[in-house]
Amino acid sequence: MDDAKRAGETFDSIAEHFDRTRNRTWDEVIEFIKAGEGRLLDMGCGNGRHSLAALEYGYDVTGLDASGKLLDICRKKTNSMDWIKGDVKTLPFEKQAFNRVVCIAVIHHLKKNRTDCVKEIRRVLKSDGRALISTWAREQDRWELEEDQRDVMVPWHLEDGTVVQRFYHLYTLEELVEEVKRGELKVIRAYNSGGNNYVECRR
Amino acid sequence: MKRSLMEILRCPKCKGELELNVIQEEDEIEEGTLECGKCDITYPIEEGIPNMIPQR
Repeated sequence: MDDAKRAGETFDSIAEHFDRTRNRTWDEVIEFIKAGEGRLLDMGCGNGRHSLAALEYGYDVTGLDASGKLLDICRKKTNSMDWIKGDVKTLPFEKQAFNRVVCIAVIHHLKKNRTDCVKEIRRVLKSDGRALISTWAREQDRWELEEDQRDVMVPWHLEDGTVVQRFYHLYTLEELVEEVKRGELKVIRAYNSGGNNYVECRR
Repeated sequence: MKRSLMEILRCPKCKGELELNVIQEEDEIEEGTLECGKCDITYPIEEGIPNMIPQR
C-alpha cells in the first residue's frame, strides 16, 4: 500500500486519542519557529500542535497531513490557517513558497522513498529559507534491535484495548544527516535531544 | 481553505496551476474542486479541507 494512504489510515484510527495525549509542543521546534517569520509549512502536522504555536508567533501557516481525521480535529481548533490533506513525498505547492518548513516526527513513518520527502522540502523552501527535520532517535535505549535493524513496528494502545501498529524507520543522527544530504539540503546543525534527532537545514 | 492559498497551491503531480471551482463559500471555501487540466485530475475540497492526494 502507498505510504501516504497507509500512514493516513493508521493515524485516522488513533486520531482522537492521539490528539488528547499529544498536546505538548517541543522546545526544539519552538526555538526554530521563533527565529523566523513569513510563511511556514507544518509538514505532517498531526493534531496541529506546532502549527498553532507558529500561528501565535505571527506566521502565515499551512498544515499538511495524510490523516483526514486529524485534519478535521485541527480545523475545529482554528480556521485562521489552511489545513491540507496531502502526501509529504509529493507536496501540492509552488516551488520556493515557504520561509520555514517543520517536518517533525514524520519521515520515519515512511517505508520507502524517504529521500523524496527531503527533496520536496528543498523544492518548496525559499532561497534563504530554513527547515527543521526530526525523527525518533535510534540511539534511544528502549529499542531492542538487531545491529543492522532500522525498521520496527511500535504499538499504539487505544483506551478500548485495541492495539494499532505504527511503522518506524529509526535513523541514527548520522544516518538522518546523510538522508538530508541525499535530498540535497545543506546541514546547519544536527543534534540529539529528548529521544529525537534533529537536523536544521537550508537549500 | 482560503482563496489566498491559490497563490501557492499546485497539482502535487505536475506542480502546475489548478482551476478552482467553488460549490459552497462562507468565510472561506467549504466545498469545491481543484482541477489540473494537464493531469486530468480533480481534487475535492470537503469541509474546508482540500484533498491533494491523487485518488488514482
